Amino acid sequence: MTTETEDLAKQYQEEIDHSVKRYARAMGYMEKPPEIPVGQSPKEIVWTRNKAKLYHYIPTLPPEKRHNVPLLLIYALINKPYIMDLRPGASLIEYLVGQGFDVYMIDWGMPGPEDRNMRLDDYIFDYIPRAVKHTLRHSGAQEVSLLGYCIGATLTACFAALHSDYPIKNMVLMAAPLDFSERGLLRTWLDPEYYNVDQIADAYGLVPAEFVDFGSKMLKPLNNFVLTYNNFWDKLWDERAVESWLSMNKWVNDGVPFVGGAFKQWIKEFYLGNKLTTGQLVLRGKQVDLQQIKANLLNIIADKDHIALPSQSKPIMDLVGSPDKEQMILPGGHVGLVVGRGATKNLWPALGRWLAARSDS
Amino acid sequence: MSEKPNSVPSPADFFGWINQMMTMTATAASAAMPTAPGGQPQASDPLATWRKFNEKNEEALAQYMQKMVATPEFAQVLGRSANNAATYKQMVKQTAKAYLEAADMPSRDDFARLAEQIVMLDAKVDDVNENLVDSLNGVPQLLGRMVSLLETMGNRVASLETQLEKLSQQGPSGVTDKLTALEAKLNQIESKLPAPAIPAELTSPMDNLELPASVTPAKSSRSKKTKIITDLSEPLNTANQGEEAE
Repeated sequence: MTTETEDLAKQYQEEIDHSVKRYARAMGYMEKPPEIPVGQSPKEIVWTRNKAKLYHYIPTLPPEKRHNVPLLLIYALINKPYIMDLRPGASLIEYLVGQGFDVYMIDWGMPGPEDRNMRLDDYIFDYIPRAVKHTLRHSGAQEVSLLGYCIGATLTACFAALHSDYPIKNMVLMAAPLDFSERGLLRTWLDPEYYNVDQIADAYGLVPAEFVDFGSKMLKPLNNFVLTYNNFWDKLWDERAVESWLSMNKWVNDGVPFVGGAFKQWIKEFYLGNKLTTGQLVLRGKQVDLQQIKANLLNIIADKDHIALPSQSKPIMDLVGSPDKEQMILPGGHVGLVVGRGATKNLWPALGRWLAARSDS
Repeated sequence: MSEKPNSVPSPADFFGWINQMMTMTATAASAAMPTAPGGQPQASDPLATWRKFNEKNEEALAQYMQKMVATPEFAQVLGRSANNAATYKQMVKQTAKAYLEAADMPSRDDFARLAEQIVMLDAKVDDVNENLVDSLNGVPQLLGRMVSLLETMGNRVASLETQLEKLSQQGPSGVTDKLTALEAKLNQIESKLPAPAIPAELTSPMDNLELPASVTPAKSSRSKKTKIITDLSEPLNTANQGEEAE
């Protein structure tokens, strides 16, 4: 046998071993996915109401190096907020705490059937104002910065518009679905001719997370159902990459059901009615006037966001009454905006700089 | 390999042939399949062909799927599936509820109602707590106001004390002198006043009554000179008693 043949035979042998091991690993992950710890930044619970909790992340810098204005994160209703603190090294919260921000976050918790009739009004009038008060009280600050992500950004904008007497110094909206005048894919699917929102919400009470998740995944079917697993297969030999993929996959499949009352409102008044940016939205008898927002505004948009389309986020710039307002369009998708290599390079430092310049009174 | 018809190939010939075959296969596989980061062909990866196919056609496939999911037909299928699933869910829910009711067992709705009350109670506790904290936060401000009020009151009391002290330094004679002067002035005024002429028709029939000797009519207060108590040390009730006795 020539040396060339021997090399080739050896190579084949190695490849076969490699593949067998790869299969074994993949099967192992599929059979029993490893427990990936998420949301590990040290925190304390400052306030609770129903299932909602207000977390305070333990500062890592001495008081003299910290910013005066605390930052309250308001996350969406249909996913778990630990995407903001996915794992050490891949956590926006860890970064912000490290930059000297006093970070607080509302975790809406897992709703039960008793919450099926909760409306967006309840979150905006009963929960967020109290969370803001507790943030101010706990931090001893006079003003607060708010950061809303996805539906959390919509809630944040509505809250700020309806509570102009609250001391909101800065408001950051990330991937905010606000204006639905452009007919996107979701609006096509939600056409009342085909889709009976009331029937679905009433039947389930809490619209299952899988239901919502399927809709989101169908917006990019090839990416979400095929390419992501190809990606995982390719990364099977890289421990860190596997951990990263698994933690993200855990979050994607760890949804929260959409509370029926809020779901109906979200579809009818926002997606189909486009009432917020047209000034027709009324919550608890009060008209939501975005012009009442006077806080410094940072509107962050991901250029490839297929869930909160850039066209849904942009119009707010002309609707608020903030004298200091800025829009940032960053590369990436809806989730890649806050976590991943792109986020570390783009969003984190930009957000940190913008807030730091406005967080010392 | 040497050609020897009707002869068994030698081991060298056999391995040479195998070698040739393997080289040809490897070359073909390397050309068709992706390479690993190290440049080694992943010949034994069964997903490699699929991945290569995907990579080549990903964009076209994604475009096709995006177009497909954007059609009204797809929306119709999706909507109908969701509506049907909801109808089925509703049906199952109603059946289960009816069964549980018949069996005298609580349904999910009953538990939800109970939990709803707990949630409301939790909200009330939170509201009470909030009000309490607000009130407690207001205590320092309230205390501050009370302290300021007490200070003002203290100042006024001190001023009164000073005035009283001044009066006490003047002694009772000072006050008595003033009162005597006042009494004199009043008497002077009274003496200057003309006696009132009362018409007969306005006189009371009581005036014509003949009273028994034992009854003495009360004197008009006007006829009595005003008496002002000048002795402050004399108790008031004693003074009144004296007047009555007079």
